[in-house]
Amino acid sequence: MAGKEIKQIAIYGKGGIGKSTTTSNLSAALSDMGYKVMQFGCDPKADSTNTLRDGSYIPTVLDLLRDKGKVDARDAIFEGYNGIYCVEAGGPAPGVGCAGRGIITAVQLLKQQNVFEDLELDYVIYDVLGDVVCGGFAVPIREGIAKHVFTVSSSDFMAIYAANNLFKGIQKYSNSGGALLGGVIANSVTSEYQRSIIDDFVARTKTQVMQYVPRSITVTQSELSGKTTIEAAPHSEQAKVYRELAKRVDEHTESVTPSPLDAKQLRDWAAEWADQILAIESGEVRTAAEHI
Amino acid sequence: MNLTCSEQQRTACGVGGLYTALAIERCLPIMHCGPGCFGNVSATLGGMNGGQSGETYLGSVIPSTNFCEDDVVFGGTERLRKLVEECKKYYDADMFMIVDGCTAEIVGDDIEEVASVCTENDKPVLYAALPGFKGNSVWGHEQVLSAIVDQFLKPAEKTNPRQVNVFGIVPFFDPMWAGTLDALESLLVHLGLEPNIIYGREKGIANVNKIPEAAFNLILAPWTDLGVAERLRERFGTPYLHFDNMPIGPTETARLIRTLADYADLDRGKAEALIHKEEERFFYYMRRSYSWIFGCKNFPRKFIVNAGAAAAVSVTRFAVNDLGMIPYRIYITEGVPEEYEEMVRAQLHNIDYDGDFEIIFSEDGGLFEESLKTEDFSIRKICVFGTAWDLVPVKKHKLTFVSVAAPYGNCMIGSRTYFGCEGALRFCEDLYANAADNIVDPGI
Repeated sequence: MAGKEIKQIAIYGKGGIGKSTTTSNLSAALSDMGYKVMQFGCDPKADSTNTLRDGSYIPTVLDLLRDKGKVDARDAIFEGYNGIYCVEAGGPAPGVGCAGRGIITAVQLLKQQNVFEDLELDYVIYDVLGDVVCGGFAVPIREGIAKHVFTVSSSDFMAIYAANNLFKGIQKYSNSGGALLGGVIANSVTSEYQRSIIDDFVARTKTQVMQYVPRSITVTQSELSGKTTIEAAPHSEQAKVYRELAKRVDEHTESVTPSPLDAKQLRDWAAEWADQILAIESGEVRTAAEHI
Repeated sequence: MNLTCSEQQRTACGVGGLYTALAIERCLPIMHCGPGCFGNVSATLGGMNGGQSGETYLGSVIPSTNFCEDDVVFGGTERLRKLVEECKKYYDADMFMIVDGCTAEIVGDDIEEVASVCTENDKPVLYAALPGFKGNSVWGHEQVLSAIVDQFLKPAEKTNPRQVNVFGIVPFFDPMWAGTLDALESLLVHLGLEPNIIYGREKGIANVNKIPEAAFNLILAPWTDLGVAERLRERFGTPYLHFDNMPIGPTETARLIRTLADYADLDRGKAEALIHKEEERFFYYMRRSYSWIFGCKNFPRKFIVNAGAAAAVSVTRFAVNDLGMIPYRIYITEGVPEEYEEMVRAQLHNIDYDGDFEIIFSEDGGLFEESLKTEDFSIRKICVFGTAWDLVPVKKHKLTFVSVAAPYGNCMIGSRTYFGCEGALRFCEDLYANAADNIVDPGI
């Protein structure tokens, strides 16, 4: 009998945008829904799964590889909140070696040893560092590993540039069986115009918003106590937002190839919005017709 | 840059530049490269290149970190540092040259820092980044020389008015480099100069140290080492004389001697006497075989060169100016930098022949073999001056062949050289013997 299909998803986004926070809360919420979940941190800082394990660090796949040479991938798997399997790829010290190759090595190691199947997982969620700067960071979206990609982005232009770059990576691999785009998780959205910027970007790149996640002090408080919001404040409004996100991700089946903007389109688009933001912040009143 | 596919490379990758370090006695290259890198470069520049190796350090003892996946992920400089420290204990060397290849350069390993940490007063550790994606072994050669000039040499307290440093030759890429430099040294000494050659027998670091003392640098090549000569002029104010080839035969040898005599204000009588003596000897032995050579009416008059620019200019000048042959097509295969292409083209046309002929700059030495599919040399035979790569097609088409460049072939090259008048006799022996084999074809 064929094993059940494992839903593998990858969460990308600019560094510091809230990927690990979002991913850990998503993992926790899916776990609460009864799924067997693994969260796979693909960041040399190895701190993706901290809030699933009371703020503690775990040995990384590459730490074990460096120490032993040959690694049983199961030695790199640690249980966290509600039985979530936590794995950190790890990587070199800042400024040396190749973090991209580290991710390739770690992902391939788990794949080769059939860990996902043996654990009978429902979800594997890759939390991937930053922009798609080299082939190593694209591993989760190629080679038939993850099926769906979600990108965490705020309305900040740099975050949107990173998302657009990710879309280019997805588009590149889309014809060779790579992962497709599920949508954008709009993070730190506190005002209407921030929401409008993201809505406009997803419309132009032919994708969708999975959830609007507001900035919240509850998240900060939870993380300071080494926990996800789902665990530390399960009845909070913010936890509700993450649960809704988990439900949408769970119901999501069809991802698409995005239509990233080219350099000029992106620059023009950003300039257009910068102009509008300036008008908003300086109190200038524009008619509906002038408002593009 | 040539971005087309290349079928037959007559150079090794950038790491092949380590052979220039190997040519300097008691200079040990330390490789920060993958496990197969030395095997790759030695295939072109070592064993299959006239059975050559380093003399102080054989190819089989060149140390390497054997850069593997752990080094890619975490960086390999710590292992490199340990290897250099161990090498300093176990190898008796005057200089260490760290060279790295593609993977170490891609992941950004800092070999400069390792070299700096490991250097001691009497044990200099230099470094040269030689990734194959940046250039081939000829480029690598210049990187190694530049490393010596920039990292090791210090200004001299005095200049020796008779000392001349010899550059231009690329050791091992010119398979006859050792024999050629021996013969060249004798010639320069005879003219009253004090040649300072850093490669080969009984040279080494003492000669490297003397580089800044020279009155001038002599560059004997179409284009290689011109950059190094410029750098030496910038650093030490040493002028240089550029003579565009390593002479084969009486015409170019005489021109070199006269050029040197003019440039360095040498004894003209002694120079002319040497020219006369060399020519007399050359033509004596040639005259003894003229009836045999010219008795063969089917000897091919036209020739193709399929080699680097250095071999091409030397051989073309001799074949045309001294043997009366006609160039048909010349493939220049070492990836001459674009800024030098026109200069090399002019050098090739600077011969006693006004007719037209093709010059093709391409790193794909396989273009010659490809041409044999459409060009028929079965009636009007042609001579081919190339490398061991060309052996199969020339044997198949029974073409006269002389190997003049790397990879030279599976044989022992010893002290063989085509330099000067004596070397030109060796060239003629090889050329006419091969021609006779192909034309007469005893059928046994």
